[in-house]
Amino acid sequence: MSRIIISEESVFTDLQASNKEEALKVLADSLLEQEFIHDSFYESLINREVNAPTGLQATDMGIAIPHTDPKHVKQDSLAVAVLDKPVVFQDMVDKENSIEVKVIFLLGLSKSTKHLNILKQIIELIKEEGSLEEISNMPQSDLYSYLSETLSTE
Amino acid sequence: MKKHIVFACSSGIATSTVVAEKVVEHCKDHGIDVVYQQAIIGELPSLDNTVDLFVATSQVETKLNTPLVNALPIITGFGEEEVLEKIITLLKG
Repeated sequence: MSRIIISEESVFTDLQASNKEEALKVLADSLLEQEFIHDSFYESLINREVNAPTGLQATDMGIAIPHTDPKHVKQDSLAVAVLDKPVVFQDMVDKENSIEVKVIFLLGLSKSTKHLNILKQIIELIKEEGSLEEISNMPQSDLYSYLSETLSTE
Repeated sequence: MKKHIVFACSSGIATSTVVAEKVVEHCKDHGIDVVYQQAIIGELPSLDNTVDLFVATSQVETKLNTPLVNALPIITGFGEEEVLEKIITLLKG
């Protein structure tokens, strides 16, 4: 398929996780089940967070945009989780700094650069005052609709 | 004016692509034509001295000769204007 997929199974609200590894496992597993990524994706994702973390302090709250080497991805896809309680990611801007992350946007990006538009859109979204606050309070089905409508997946 | 830039990030395609689009457009508005390529951070030493500027969205620990700009502000939005200005200054300088 040539478009980026946001499926309902990969949108989570009130996700319970004690740390980022747990949260990322849930998200990665949802993509693996749908065969969008390879088995190797999760480990590569976790390893990448050590040297090149993806936590970001946005206006309203902390978020993360984890992604990794395109070779672990079969189908461009996005998994999103709003956490019940924030988990810690290191800061993309300064890896010594910790960020309390409330919303994770896990990107499965393959070699194709077609869908980088979605990263751009997510980045614009997090700069909008109030958007993240709104997202973090939506029920799951509303969040799924919102993401499918707001983010262009072409 | 034509300049060569390497945009680098950890994955080689994600944040560097987002930044490349913004920077290239900004340069165009200032009369600078940009030719660019993307790379992973680890490739920068081998590309040193071959282009006019490195723009990275990840921390670079190695000492390089080519001027380097950290473009994370373009991702976060905080300090974006300053970074774009700095890039223009470095390219025109």
